[in-house]
Formats: sequence, structure tokens, C-alpha cells
Amino acid sequence: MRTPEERSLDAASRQMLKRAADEGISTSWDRWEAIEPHCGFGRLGICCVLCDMGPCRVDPFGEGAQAGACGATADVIAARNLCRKIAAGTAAHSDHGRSVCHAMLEAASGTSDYKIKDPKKLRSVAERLGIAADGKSDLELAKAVGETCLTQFGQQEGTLPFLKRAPKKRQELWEQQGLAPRGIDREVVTLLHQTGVGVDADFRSMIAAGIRCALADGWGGSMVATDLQDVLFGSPEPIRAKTNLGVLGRNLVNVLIHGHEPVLSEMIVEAARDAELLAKAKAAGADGINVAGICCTSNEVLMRHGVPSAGTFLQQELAVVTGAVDAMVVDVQCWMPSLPEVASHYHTKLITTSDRAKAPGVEHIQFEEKHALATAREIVGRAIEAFGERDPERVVIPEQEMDLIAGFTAEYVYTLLGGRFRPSYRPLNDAIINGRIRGVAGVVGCENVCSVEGAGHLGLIKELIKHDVLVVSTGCSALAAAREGLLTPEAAARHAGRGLQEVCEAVGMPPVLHVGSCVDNSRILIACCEILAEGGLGEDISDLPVAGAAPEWMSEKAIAIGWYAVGSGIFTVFGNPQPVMGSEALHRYMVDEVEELVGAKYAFEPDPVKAAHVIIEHMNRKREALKLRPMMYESYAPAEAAG
Amino acid sequence: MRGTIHVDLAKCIACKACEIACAIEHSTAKSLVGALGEQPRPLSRVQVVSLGHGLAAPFQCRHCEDAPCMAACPEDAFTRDGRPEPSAEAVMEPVLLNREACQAQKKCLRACPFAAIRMTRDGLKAYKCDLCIGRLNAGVQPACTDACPTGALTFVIGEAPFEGRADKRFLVVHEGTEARYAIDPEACTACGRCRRVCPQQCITGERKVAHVIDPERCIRCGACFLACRFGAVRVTAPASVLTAATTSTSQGGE
Repeated sequence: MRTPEERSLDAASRQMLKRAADEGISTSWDRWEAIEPHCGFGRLGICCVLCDMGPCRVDPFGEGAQAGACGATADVIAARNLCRKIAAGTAAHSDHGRSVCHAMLEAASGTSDYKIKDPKKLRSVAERLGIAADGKSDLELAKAVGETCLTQFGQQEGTLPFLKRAPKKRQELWEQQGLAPRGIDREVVTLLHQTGVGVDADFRSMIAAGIRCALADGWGGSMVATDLQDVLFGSPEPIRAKTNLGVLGRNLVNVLIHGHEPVLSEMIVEAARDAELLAKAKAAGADGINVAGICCTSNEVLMRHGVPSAGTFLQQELAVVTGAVDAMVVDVQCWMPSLPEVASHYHTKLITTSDRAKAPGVEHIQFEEKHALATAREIVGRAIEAFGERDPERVVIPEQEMDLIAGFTAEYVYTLLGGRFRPSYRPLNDAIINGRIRGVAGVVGCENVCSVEGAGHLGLIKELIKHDVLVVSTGCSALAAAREGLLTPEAAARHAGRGLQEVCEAVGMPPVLHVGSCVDNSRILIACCEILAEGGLGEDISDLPVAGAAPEWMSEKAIAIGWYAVGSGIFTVFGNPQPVMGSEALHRYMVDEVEELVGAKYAFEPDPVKAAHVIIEHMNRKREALKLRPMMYESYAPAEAAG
Repeated sequence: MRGTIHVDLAKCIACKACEIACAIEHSTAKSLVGALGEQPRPLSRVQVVSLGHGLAAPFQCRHCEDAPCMAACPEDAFTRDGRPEPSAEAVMEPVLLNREACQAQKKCLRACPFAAIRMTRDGLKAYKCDLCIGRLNAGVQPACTDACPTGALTFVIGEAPFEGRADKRFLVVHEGTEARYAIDPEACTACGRCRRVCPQQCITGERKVAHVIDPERCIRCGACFLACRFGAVRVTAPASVLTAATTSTSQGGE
């Protein structure tokens, strides 16, 4: 069994891992170890469970069966499995986007708890959708925007409106290659069909459909979610906040929100400010109500309101193990089915809220947009009740909490770099052209219990910024970086190369910019478009010295994101390989041939430092092709190591 | 029919089909669906063990020529292919445990260097691999080798293992592979467990001196790996697809 030190780099995680072991509570690390060694057929992607003639598997050593009962070879099986994961990932992000459209329509009614907090963004989104704004009130516009966005899900023909934000050359490529998605739900359905029994037997054909589906996520479902969430809840601006388990309060009612949809978490945050509930909390003996988050929904309210983040995906059980969580409120995605068991060891009240995500024996308070705030108040009320049942003797809150700055968006970069009076991307482009910044890397994605928590993200990010690569980050990756203090301007002095340091100092920004939740990876797509529009760095996204990376990925959503990044022309590095290694041809396609199709490809590199250099070399090649100046400072000049 | 089981580490994909097949074979129902509902629940005699870095191997009783379990049992519950002593030819006689005679004294458990003997769930009887003696007598190969989809477990009829090479003979051999067992000197605490347990006596070392496995004499049986409490025994199989799959560095062309 791995020790806490072998399981996580983080001191708070380690402390709670030890506590969980002492209290006999099993965590995802324990369960993973119990399954080890994992079945190689599954890991290699060559186990097919599609039909009742199976389950079939191909012998990767070439001796036994080389095809399933239907004749599907390793290439076909691996491609089908992979594409179904793309469909699942797209479905998750897009269903999220769908919810936000519904909230938008609620807001448009004028009588909802949801309001239009960013009318400026509303107008900008309307313009993008080709909706004439003149004469319309905010509410009328909101209705039109909500309806137009919703139609993207059900449409059968045509194309998604946000694809037009991409550079002309990229749009042309998509058209020529038949990769432009026609409708969000349609692409998911077609991909599931295509990868079923006796349909597509050509892995290249399946992957093309997979790319199209992933694009329906990145430029469709996710982008709708990001943009409409900005309209409803406010476009983020740089904001200070704190992260890690230490944000839980010893004498506060701790409401932990976990999952993905701000349509819920925003309401919880609002409800927690309710005077009546605060009074109730005080009456129960608490100093106040503390809302903290786990995972993406945490990132959403962190970006917009500075609500503290208690932790990442792998820390969800550990948060409960502090004994300080009075209510854990979950909606959809990434909450572990083990939570009811873990919570049962403490007074923690687990509450499910989505009709799509329940657990047996767990209290379910259905969250409806029509009664959003009332439901949120009810949930916070439960937390206050549970506070009364807390055993102070069993509360152990790690002291670790780290300052961070979050709240960067593609739009805010204009102001961040250009200032209030001359908002512009020019300083960023200039910095890249002049060689202070080598390029921009999006380091994103999950945490995976198979490796040391944090080792992938921190190893990669630190090596990248050391070599003057500006890092933008989302999801659990951003929180992992935040835990380590990388989301502060001081981190530039400690870890960044000289060129990046100068830019960070001039602007007053961290070397790692938190741009949001996982649906906010769409912000990175838009940022690439803005960089190109500003000029001097090529004509297509694939010309840019940019890269994506998911060093500790685990989710199907990460696979969908990887494919929409590659499909948009962004070279992408995954830590563990995607589960295709049982098919040599598919593997080779992903790390080589696919570049002919979409101008970008994958690399798989579990060692984070090596991965950083794969990215650096890629950026160097792009810089050379653009005939940019050589890097201004090739040597690494950190501040005193003691930092 | 008699023979030996060969284990190829580089081909074990940890699918655990061997475990399931073994449990079914040693059930009453002798079918997957039937075995699921049975009480007591059927137990596998083989366990797939993770060797690190994507490698795994099935571990089961080796049917040692000089079986420590046989020597240790005060009830004489072990036989060689039904005989109380090895026959004169001493070839390919599986070590069999007579359940009725077992008094759960667990001396065999402690004596076995391969952790191959376990207790039933009620703690009343020991059990271990019997080389599927019933199947062998009917001319059918063992359930685990039959089930293995990659050829990591194969049954070789009539072959005498380790001809002219080993000091001890086994009926389950981890052979035919480029796998290597080596001790990491940084991790070794020189406790000597591996040295004491090695059936080939090919590990040298003293107090406070990192122990070393002689690769020429090592038969890759894995006893040292099981014995080491410090994770100092490292297994490598350079040709393994699995190592490549789980820790692959792969970048395409320029």
C-alpha cells in the first residue's frame, strides 16, 4: 500500500490520507490499489463489450485471437472505444450547456432568480449569433439568445454559429474535411451509431467523426456554457481567493458544493448570504456560513466571486474526512459514488440535486431553475441543521490554504495587457514575437489516482514557465497549481524564466493564469482566435506556438477536450496515453498522421518534465516557421531558490 | 497426463481470466453462472500479482520437488500425486493437500516461500493449487492455462523442468521470458529475507550489505519479490508491450 507521501505531493491531502487510514475509511487510492494490476486489455483499448457475441479481446502479442467474433480488429475496437468516450465527454459538457440555456430563458422571463448580470456580454454574444440587438431590451435579447443557443442542440443541418469565430483558414479546413459539426446532439448520436456493431470498420473514418463530435463540444456545448454563464453570472475579472482544505472553517457552517453547474452553485452562494439563514447559523452557534467548492463548480464561483476552493477531484473524499463538512451538495459529474459511504463516518449530510445524478439512500433535493433560490435556501438550511450534529472533537482541518488569483478570460486579456484606455492583445503578441514569451500552453484536466497527486501538473507547469512559456490553466489542474502557490505574481519571481518574469512583472500577473472551469477551456480557443486576429503570428491556430496538455487526465471529458483541441489545430500532450495502445495503427495515427488532416497531433508522455520539453520543442518549431526572433533570454534566471 | 505450467511474465496482461477459471474449476457447479451463487463461494488458487511498471504475473503453488509445506505439516496432510513420498523417478508429481487431514495449523502457510497456500473463508482448511489433477487425469490441461488468452500461462506436457540447471525442481516455472529480477541497492535494507527464501540460493549478501541476485542462477520464481518488505526487488521485462502501454513516451514525426 502506498504511503500518503507516495500518493500525493500536497501536505493537506497527506494529512487527511493518514487520517482516513487511521479511521478505516477507504479512499479512491485504496480502491485503485485493490484493483491493481488493472486489466491490460482494457488499458490497451482492445476489449470490446459492444455485443453479446463478446466480450471479445484481441491478443496484443499476436498469438491468440486477432479479431473479435464479428471480425473487428484491434484498430476497429480501439477506435470504437475511443470515439464512444469522445461522445460521452461531448455529451457531458453539452448537457451542461443545455442547462445554462434553460437558465437563460428563465432569466429572460424577468421573474426569475436568475438575472442578466453582464448585459455587455449578452450583446456581444447576440452579435456573434447574428441576432440584431437594436431596440431590444436585455430580457428580449436574453430570450432570443437562449432560444438560438438551444436550437444548436437539436438542429440537424447547417453548422454551429460559434464556429465562425475561428480563423477563416480553420473554418475552410473544417468544411473541406467534413469536420464541421451540424448539430450538437446529432453529432453525439451519429458517433454512437457509427461506432456500434457492424457500422464503421475504418478507424480513420471513425476518428474523423470523433473530431467532428468533439468540435461540437468545444465550439458548441462548452462554449455555450461559458458564454451564457458569463452573461448570467458575470464575466470574471481578476480576483483574489484561497484554496485547499484549510479554507474550511472550524466554527462556520461549511457548505461544500461539488459538481459542475453554476446554475446551482451560484444560487447556493447567494442563499448563503441570506440574512435569515445567517441568523439561523448564528443561533446554532456558528460564526457564519462558509461556502467552499470542489472541482469545476468550485472554479465557476471562484472565478466570479472569489469563493474559496476546498480542493480537487481527488480531495473530495478527503474534505469530508476533516469532519468539518456540514453539507456536501452535488449536482453532475466527477462526484464519486463512494461519497455516501465516506460521509456516513461523519455527521456530513450528502445531498444530491440533479435528476441525472442520484445515489441510493442519499437525500435528494431536486434543483429546479424555477425555484432556484428557494431550493438553495432549503439546502443551506439543511447544512445549518447538520452543523448542530457536528462533533467538534472529530474535526481536524489541515492548516494549508493558499492564496491565488483567478478570473482571467479571453476578453479580460484586452484590459489586462492593454489597460483600460487601450485594451489590446498587442502586448501579448509582441511578447511572443520579441521572444519574451515562447508561447502559450493550456495545462488543464483532471487528477488521476494512478500517479502522485500533483506531480504531473506541477512538474509540467514549473518546467514550462521556467522556459518562458505562459501557462493558462483550468479545472483541477488550475487548482493543483494554485495549491502550490503558482497562481500568484510572486510565483513568477520564484519559478519563471526571465522573459516571462518581465512580462508578469510589467503586467502584475501570475505566470499561470486561471481561466476557469473545464467548459471554460473554450476560452482558450477564443484566446487563440484573438491572438491571430491581432496579427503577426500566422493565419491559423495551427501556426501559433501554443499547445495543450492534460498531464493527470482521467475523464472521458478530457478525451473530448483533447480532440477538440487537436481538431482546432492545437498540439496536445496527454500524460498517460489515451487507451489506444493496443492498436499500433491508431496510436501512430494520433501521434503522427492526424496532423495531415487537422494540422495538429498528440504526444503521450507520462514524465512531466519530458512532456514540458516536447511542448517547448514544438513551440520552437512553430516560432521558427513564423520566423520569429529567437528567445530573448535563453538562460533560466530564477530568484533566490529560498523564494 | 502430466506436465508443467510455464509462466511468461512479458505476456501477462492481468486480465485475471486464470483466477476466474480456477475458481470455477474448483466450484461445485463448474460453470460461471452456477459458481456465482454457490456457498461457500469458490476460491481461486492462483492470484495475479502486480510486479510494478505495468508488469504482472500469476502466482500459484510451484509444486516444489523439495516441498517445504510437506515437510512442515504435522498431520502429513500433503502427498505427492497421492503418494506419501516422492516416487523413485520423482518426475512431475504435483503436491496435493488432503483436505480431510488438514487441521488448520497453518504451518504450511508459514513455510511456503510463494504465499501459495491460503485458508478458506471460515478458517478451517488450507487450500492451494492442485495442478488441476482431476483434469490432468482425464487428459485435459489445467483450467488456468486453458483460460489464458495471451499465452502467459501455458501447459507443457511431459517436460522435465530445469534439466541440468536447477537445484530444486518446480512444476510451475516462470520461464521463457527476458524478465529479470534485480535488487535495488538503494532500497535494500539487507534484512536477508530474500536470501533465506530463495529456492535457488542465488542471493548473496550479509548484514548491512545490499543483497544481490545472481542472474545466471535466478529462475525468476518471484519468491524474493514476495518476501521483500521494502519493495527492493525490481522486475523488468524490456520486451513487454504492457510496460510500453502504460508508461509510453510516444511522439510522432516532425
